[in-house]
Amino acid sequence: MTLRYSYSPYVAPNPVISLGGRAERPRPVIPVALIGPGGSVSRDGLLDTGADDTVFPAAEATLLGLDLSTAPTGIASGVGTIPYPVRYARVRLRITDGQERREWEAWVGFTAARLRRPLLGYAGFLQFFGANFLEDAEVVELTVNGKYPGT
Amino acid sequence: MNANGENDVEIDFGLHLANRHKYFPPRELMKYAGEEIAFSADGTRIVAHGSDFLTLWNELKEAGVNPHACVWSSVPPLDGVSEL
Repeated sequence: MTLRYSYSPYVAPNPVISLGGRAERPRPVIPVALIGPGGSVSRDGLLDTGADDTVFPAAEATLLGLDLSTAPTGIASGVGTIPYPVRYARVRLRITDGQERREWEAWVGFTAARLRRPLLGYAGFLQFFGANFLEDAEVVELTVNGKYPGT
Repeated sequence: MNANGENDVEIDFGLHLANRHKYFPPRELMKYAGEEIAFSADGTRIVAHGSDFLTLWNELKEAGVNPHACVWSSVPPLDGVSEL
């Protein structure tokens, strides 16, 4: 079984030169629920094969009932930006496309750094799926792989 | 709902996305550039929007709306910046 999502188009203020003047940028953004001891938060995240980790804003950790004060810490960096600390916690993640539902537990990073949107990166998310980015159709297909630990 | 009660609302993201794409095409979302949006669970309404996620979350709670039952999204600013 495969989860299938259409890309989300985002309007650009000017025609996008690199896309031949197109008015929008398509991005593989999908909704995902993070579930902690205090509840869940559902939020859009970007499927990002260039991101090492799955990272959400630190503000959400409190809403999930997570205490990050003693959580393992790492350092992350985006392109051309300064490094920033990330605190990691085990949470459950849940996705569905209306046909298939998946829920698993994984390490997720939380950062106080400003994110344009949460990143669904390798560790915690993409490591558990075969991801087929169908750029011509602007669709992404996610199929669980042998590492998938959930239901 | 599960053991977390009303704090863990399982949302049908398939229905949500279908409605969101129908009711909120990209041009419509331009109005909210640079803001955080809370969509209703079924994707047919914008429940709240503003500059700060936590502020919106608390405002919804105070208004008696369950923020766990929303889908939150960040609309990028219209700055023309390519995301790397």
